[in-house]
Amino acid sequence: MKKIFLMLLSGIAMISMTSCVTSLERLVTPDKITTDPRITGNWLNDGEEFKIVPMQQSELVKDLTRFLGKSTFMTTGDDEKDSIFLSKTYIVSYERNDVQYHMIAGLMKTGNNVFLDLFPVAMNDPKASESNPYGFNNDYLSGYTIAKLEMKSNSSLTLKFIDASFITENIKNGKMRVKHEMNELFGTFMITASSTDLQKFVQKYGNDERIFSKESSVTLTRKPTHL
Amino acid sequence: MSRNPINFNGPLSRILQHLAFWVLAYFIFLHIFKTSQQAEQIDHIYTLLFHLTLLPSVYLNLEWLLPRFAKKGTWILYALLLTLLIIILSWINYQFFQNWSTMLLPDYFFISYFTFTEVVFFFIVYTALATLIKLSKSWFSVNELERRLLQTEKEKVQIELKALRAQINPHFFFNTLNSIYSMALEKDDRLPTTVLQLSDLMRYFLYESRGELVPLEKEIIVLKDFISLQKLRSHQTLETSTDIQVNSDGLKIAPLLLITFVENAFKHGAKGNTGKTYVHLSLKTESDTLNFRLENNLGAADATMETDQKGVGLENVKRRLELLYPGKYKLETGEQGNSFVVQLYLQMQQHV
Repeated sequence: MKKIFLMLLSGIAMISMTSCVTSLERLVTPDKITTDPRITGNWLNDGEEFKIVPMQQSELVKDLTRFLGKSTFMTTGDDEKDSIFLSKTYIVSYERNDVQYHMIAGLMKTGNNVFLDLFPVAMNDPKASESNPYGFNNDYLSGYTIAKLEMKSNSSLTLKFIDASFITENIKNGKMRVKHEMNELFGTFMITASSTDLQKFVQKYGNDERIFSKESSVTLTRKPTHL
Repeated sequence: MSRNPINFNGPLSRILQHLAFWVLAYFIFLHIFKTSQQAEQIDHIYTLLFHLTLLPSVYLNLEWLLPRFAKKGTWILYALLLTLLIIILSWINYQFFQNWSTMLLPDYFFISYFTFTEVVFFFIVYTALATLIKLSKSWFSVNELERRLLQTEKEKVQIELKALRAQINPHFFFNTLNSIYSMALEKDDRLPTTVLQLSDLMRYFLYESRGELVPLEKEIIVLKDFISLQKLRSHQTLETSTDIQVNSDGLKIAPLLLITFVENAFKHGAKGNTGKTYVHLSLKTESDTLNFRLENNLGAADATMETDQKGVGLENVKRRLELLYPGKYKLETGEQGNSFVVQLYLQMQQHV
């Protein structure tokens, strides 16, 4: 069942940001994970609504547990680590074309910066089978998308995604050393560096704006309560 | 025309050896470290920089710590200083790749791909490897030095042996020719036989005794001829006896070793004496051990001989025994009543 989660299509469609870098390994590990209650709530971006809730309070988790069983969320195979993840991660959800997309987000502080990784966990299509409305698709290998999180105020949140074109260009030019896999035929690219190396990378280059994609930056504003 | 051998300890050779070590280390590291089939520019830069940070550790140890502290009494201090050196330089390596490299190479993106412990391990491996190479080179140098020392010592011994042997021959021939001269004056009928015997002895001295060892039986024949020659020129009162019980099969002995004693016996015992004179020779073998005993009367010539000429022949033969049979002989010489006795036990070499 665990493999099902690794083969999700949903994340690709959800983020729909082709210029973002996908990593096979997570950036945020149990020993580095942190929380920030300010990010929870309802947010808006270009008319789309994003909902961020702690994982333990998420209806999605309850539904998935009902459909797939608790073990499917034990992503590390270690009870203690899974417990940390369950208690400290968030579910980010939004809806597009009547389909709900859900991602798991983990936060990590390094230096003066806060980074998060997003892992597509499910998409809920009401047209899909009633027995399993979270239409998983095994065609794609999902991964972690890494972004720098900036909160200028309590009502504004910016996600700066690592720029895939910058990364690939520098790797091709022999100016960047990150473990990766590149498929020239389909133009796909995935970072395969370990979590430790990813953490070291964002620690070193967290303040270097060149590695972040301007086009894919997402600024969310808190949804007013009266709406 | 002789060719100079390659000097492996010369400055150029040393530089080349070090260069070879680092080039080899570079390419091994690069091969392990690269992330794709072919090493990229960044891989080369990283590998080069990584090795540059290793250089101070390796050379400070080789040129400063090892020669000064790696010896009896300062081993603990050496270990402490080396540990300190490795930790400090490993920390610098880690900090350089993880933090400082952006100042030097802002357009290149890399991190320290190893944990601090792993970096320390790298430094230990490189430093230990370089130390072992240096120590093994030193070991080879010491061995070579010892070999050359032994060779020099051997050559010295050979030169000394030749000099000693050269002292024997004129000594003997001088005495024998004097005897032949006397026989010629007296028109002695035995002169032709004597000359032939001398001729045989000369052949032995000049040609057959050139080797390090000769068959024992050959040395015995020469000994008998020598005694015959001595008897011919001696007066009637000279009494000689030989008791030879030898199984000399395969036994070899240093040439002209025994004859020196016999020559001395005649020289000091018979010469100048007017009374009863004698030379008794006993020669026996047991397994590979020779038992040589020679007894002669104390001679009147000894009393008139110059001190610096006394016992020159005996000293020569003692020196030869020390050089050729170290720890394998026992020589006793001394006066017993009116006699002078030489007793030699000699462990000879068995040759097939």
